[in-house]
Amino acid sequence: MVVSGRSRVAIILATAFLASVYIADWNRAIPRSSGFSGINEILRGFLQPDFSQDFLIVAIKATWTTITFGTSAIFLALVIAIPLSFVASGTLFRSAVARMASITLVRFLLALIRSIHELIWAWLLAVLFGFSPITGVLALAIPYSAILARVFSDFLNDVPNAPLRALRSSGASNVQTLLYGRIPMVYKDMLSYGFYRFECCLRSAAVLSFIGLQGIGYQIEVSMQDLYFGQVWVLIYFLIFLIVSVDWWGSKLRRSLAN
Amino acid sequence: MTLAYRVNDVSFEAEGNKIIQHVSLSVKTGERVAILGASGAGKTTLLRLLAAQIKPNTGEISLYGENTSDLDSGEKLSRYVGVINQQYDLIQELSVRNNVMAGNLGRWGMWRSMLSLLSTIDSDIGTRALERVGLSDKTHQRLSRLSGGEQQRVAVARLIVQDPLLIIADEPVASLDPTRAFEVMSLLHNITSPTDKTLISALHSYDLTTHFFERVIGLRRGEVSFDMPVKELSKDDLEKLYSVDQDD
Repeated sequence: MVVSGRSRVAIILATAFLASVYIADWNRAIPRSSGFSGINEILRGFLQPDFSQDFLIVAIKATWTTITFGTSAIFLALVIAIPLSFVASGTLFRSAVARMASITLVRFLLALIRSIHELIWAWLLAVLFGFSPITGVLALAIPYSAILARVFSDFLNDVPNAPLRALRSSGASNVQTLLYGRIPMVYKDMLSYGFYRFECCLRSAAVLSFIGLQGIGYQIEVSMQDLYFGQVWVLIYFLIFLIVSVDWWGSKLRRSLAN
Repeated sequence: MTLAYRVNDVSFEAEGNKIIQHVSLSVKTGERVAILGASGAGKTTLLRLLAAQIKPNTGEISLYGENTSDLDSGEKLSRYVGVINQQYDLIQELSVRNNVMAGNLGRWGMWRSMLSLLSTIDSDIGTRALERVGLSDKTHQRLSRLSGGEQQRVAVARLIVQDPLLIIADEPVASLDPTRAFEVMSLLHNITSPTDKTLISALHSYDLTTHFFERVIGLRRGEVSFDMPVKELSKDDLEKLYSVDQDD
């Protein structure tokens, strides 16, 4: 029987799914009896969010902390990722050997870095720096720079060849072809993806607080422990507002660049 | 008169297809040569061989005495040959000015090219080139806002800035209406003829060929079918060139 590559992948995925259904311990999937009253509490919090002035100040401070973590991290990630993406794209080298070597080596390194989740990076870095802001920023910036560099390098590679050939016929070197051809052709995609990753970074920054770093996640955890669901909802609203704002800002910037 | 090209028994094949077969010809400096032929006759491949973008499998092309197989893209080649194609040659996201100034890249180092993207250094030559093609009012517009005919004039302005010894044009006006086509061909003619630059262009139009060129080469299935002064070109020759073979 001949099986195409795509159906082979489909068969493997289907088998894995069926196996997981069989292996799963379904007895544990039944909600706890206290779970239903918990949902009740959460819903009540949703209907009565805690908009008291004292708590709003706490929420704003937590949001601000998350913003500073996320923004510093994405900024650092971009500073690292952009030059790395040039190397990972292999477009800077003329000789085929150097090109293949740089693509293979750098991409392998990038895969290595991004296969470790930011939470694990945070644990590893906490050993070095303790639970300090620098741990938080680096834990986000390191894997994010690897993700950004990989995707940017794909963008830089997947551009039409004809305009690049024309630039080379004007005497452009590989660096000049990058500057005048590849980057202008993809910078809008880079910006778009960069903003998407900024959103992800803010979300991750919020979650990082669970391991003891300040921010929205930390406050959610504190309020959860006290079962103040009205406060939890306010914090979630702040988080949603934050992500929506970044999305709005990104689209606005893209539109202004399109004109 | 010095020779721009000496092409000696050149063949080129890709993926087992013989695209160019045993072509020999020479082109003198300052000549204006039209290359005619049906689609798939090998015009683009021949032009890319002449521009040293690809190298012949057998035979030799000498460009001002240098074997094109030894010439790689870069500053030196860009001083010999400038290339203009049907379309897709320019960077849509850059301004008109930056597209034109890209003609300087062979002469510029990295820092200077970077600076030119950000500021307007050395703009004189670009301004003059845009004046010559009649687009000085569009200097700071994004290229994608220009029409097809205007974009092709920007490509000509880039060639003016690059200032090569000869220009290779691959159906430069194929996607333009007759009026725009005539305008762009006139521009190419004007930037080559007074300075004795060589112009080699693939074309589809008999009228443009007879109006702007003095020599015509007919290409059929990768071979030179005829090579003669334009005055001698008859409609009969053309019909034979574009006719479909019985055995096809």
